[in-house]
Amino acid sequence: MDISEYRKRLQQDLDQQASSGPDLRQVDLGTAIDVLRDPTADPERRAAALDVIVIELSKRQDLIDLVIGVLRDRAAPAPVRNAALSALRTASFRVAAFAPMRPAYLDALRSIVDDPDPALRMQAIEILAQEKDEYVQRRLMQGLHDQSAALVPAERAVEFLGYDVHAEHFPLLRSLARESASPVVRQNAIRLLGADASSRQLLQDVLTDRNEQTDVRTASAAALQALAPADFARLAAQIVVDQKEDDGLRAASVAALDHFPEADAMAEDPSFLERVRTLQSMGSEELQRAARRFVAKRSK
Amino acid sequence: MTFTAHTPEEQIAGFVDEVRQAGNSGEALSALLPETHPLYRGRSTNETARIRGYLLAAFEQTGLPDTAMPYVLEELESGREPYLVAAAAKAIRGLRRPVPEFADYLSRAVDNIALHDDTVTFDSYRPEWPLATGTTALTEIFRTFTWLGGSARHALTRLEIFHGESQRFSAAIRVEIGLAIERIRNDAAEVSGGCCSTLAAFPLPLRCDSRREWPTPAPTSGIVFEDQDGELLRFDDWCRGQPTIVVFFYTRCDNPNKCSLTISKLAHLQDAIVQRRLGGRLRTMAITYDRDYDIPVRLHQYGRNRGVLFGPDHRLVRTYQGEVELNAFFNPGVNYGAHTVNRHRIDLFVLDRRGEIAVKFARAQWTVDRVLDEAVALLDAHEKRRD
Repeated sequence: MDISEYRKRLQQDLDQQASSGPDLRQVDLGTAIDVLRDPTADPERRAAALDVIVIELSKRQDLIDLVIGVLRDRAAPAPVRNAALSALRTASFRVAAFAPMRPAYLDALRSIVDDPDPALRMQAIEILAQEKDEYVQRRLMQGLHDQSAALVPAERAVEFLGYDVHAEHFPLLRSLARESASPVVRQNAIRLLGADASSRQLLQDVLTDRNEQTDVRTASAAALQALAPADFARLAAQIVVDQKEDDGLRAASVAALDHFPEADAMAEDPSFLERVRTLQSMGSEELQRAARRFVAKRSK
Repeated sequence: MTFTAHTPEEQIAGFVDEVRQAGNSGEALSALLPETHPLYRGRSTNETARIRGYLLAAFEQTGLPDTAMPYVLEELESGREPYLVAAAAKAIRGLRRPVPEFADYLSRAVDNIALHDDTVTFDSYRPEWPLATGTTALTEIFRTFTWLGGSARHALTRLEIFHGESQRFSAAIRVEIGLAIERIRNDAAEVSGGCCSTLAAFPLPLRCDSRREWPTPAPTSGIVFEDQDGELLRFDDWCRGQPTIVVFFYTRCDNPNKCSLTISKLAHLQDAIVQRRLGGRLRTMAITYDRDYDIPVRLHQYGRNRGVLFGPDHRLVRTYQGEVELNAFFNPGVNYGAHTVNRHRIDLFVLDRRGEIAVKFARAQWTVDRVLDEAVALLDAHEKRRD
C-alpha cells in the first residue's frame, strides 16, 4: 500500500473511531461478550464490544473461538466481522499466546478469501500472503491467469505474491512487467524482480527505456540496485549526466549513487563530479538538492 | 513410471493415490523423495512441499520402507512446515511395529511446530477451503504417540508436562495428548529398542566413508570461489594442505532450523577450534547454494549477524566458476526452482589434507563436538602417518 494512502486510511479510521459508535470501554468483559454473542444487538455495539474483548483475547482460547465464529459467520454484519478480524489480527501479534488458536485462525481466513465483503476479503488475503500460504498463492495465481477467478485487483495480487521469494512467480512477474497495460502492475512486478537474478537484463531495459513511465523506471532502478549494484551504478551515472533524461529519475539516481560505496570512485572522475556540480543550479529543485548533497559529501 | 520437471503435479498425486489404493509397497514412493530428483526441478517451494507431503502421508497406508526413514526423521527433527511435519508423523504409523526412539523425534517436532501449527488435510491433493475435515501437525504428532503406545513409555513425563500446558496447547490438542498418555499407560506391549530397533540401522547424522561412497573423487581443478570480501580462491589451493570443514547454506532459506542454524553452529565450531588450540590447523568454509543472489556483501552480512569469524582460514563463499564440478564433487542435497532453492537437506563435509571428502554429515542435525572430533581424528591420523 502506498504510504499516502496508508496515512489517509489510518486518519479515516481514527476519525471514525472518535466520532462514531457507542463507547463500551467502560463496560465489563462479561457484558461485552454478551453483546458480541447477541445477533440481534446493534452492529456498532457488537463491533465496539470487541474493543473490550481484544484486551483479553490472546489470554483466553474460548474468546478466540468466539471471535473466529463471528468472523466465519457470513450472516453477521460486515462491520462486526471486520472488527472481529482486526481483533484477531491484533491478538495474533502475541505469537506464543495465540499459537494454540493459530490453526483455527488460518483455517477461518482461508474460508473467507472469496467473501463478498471486499475489505474482509482483502485483509484475509493479505494476512495469508504474509504467511506465504500455499492456498492463497494458488488462488491469486488463478486470478492473474484468468480474470474471472480474480479475488483482488491485479496490482494487489502481484504485491501479495511478492511476499514469498520462494514462490517462483517470477516468470509471471516478468511477463506482467513487460506486457501489463497498467503502470501500477508493471511497477509492482518490477519491484519484486529485484530478487530474481534472471531479470537483470529486463531491469536494465526498463531503466533505460525513455518511453516507460518515470515511476516504473524508478522502481526498476531500485530493483536493479538490489540485484546488481554495479550494473545499476553504471546506468545511473549515465542517466545523471544525460540532460535529455527525466529530472525525477536523474534526482533519484543521484540520491541512490550518493549512498553507493562505489560512488566515491566515480567522484574521483573529475568530469563526472563536475557534471554533477553543474546540476546544483539546473533542473528541478529535487535534482538540485540531490546534486548539492552528493557534491557536499565529496567536498569534505 | 518416470517423473520429470514437466510432469503435472496432478499426475504425480494420481500415482501416489494409485500406489496407496492398490496396497502396493511404499518403495515406489520412497524413490521420489531425494530432493535432487528431477521431478522437483523448476517447481516452487510450496509446490515441492505439496508433493513431498502427499508422498510422506501415503506411507501410513503403504507401509514405511527403510529407504524413506531418513526423510521422515529429517522432517520431525528440523521441519517447520506444518503440512510436511503432519505428513511425517502420519508416515511413522506405516511402520510394522512401534519403535521407542521415534518418541524423541516426535517430541522435537512438537517443539518445532508448536508456534507454527496450521490446519492441513491429506484428503485431496489440492484442497479447497472451507475444508470438510482437517487436521493439524500437532494432532498428527500426538496421534502417532498414541500409536506408539507402550514403546513411548519413556516419553510419558514429557507428555504429562505438555498436557498441563493449557496456554501452549489448545483444548482439542490436549484431548489428543490425554489420549496418548492413556494409551501409553495402559499398553502392556513389550518395549523394544536398542541394537535391534529399526532406528539402529539409521544412525543420524549419517556418516559416510569417502573411500566407499566416492571411489574416484571428481575433479576440482576448475572450481573457483568468491568469498565474502570478493576475493577469489581456487578449490585446489584453498581446500588442500589441512583438513577443511565445509557446510552448505543460502541466505534466503526460510527454515531457521537449517541454514541459519548451520551458520550459527559454524560460528560455535570456529570458537571451539580456537578453544581447542586448533587455529591454523583446521579451516572452515560455508558455500552458498544460491550463487546469483548471495553476492559478497550479503555473505558478509549473513555471517557477521550469526557470529562467524572471518579470516584467512574461515570463509563464506559462492561459486565463481566450476559449478558443475562442485556439484559432482559434493553432490549436495539441493534442488532449484526457476530462480532459487526450493528444497535442500543439511550438508556438512570434512575434507582431508588432499581436499577429498573424508566424512559427510547429511540430512540430520550435526553437533559441534562430533564434527570437531572427526576433524581432529583426521589430523591425528595424518600426524601418526608422518611419525
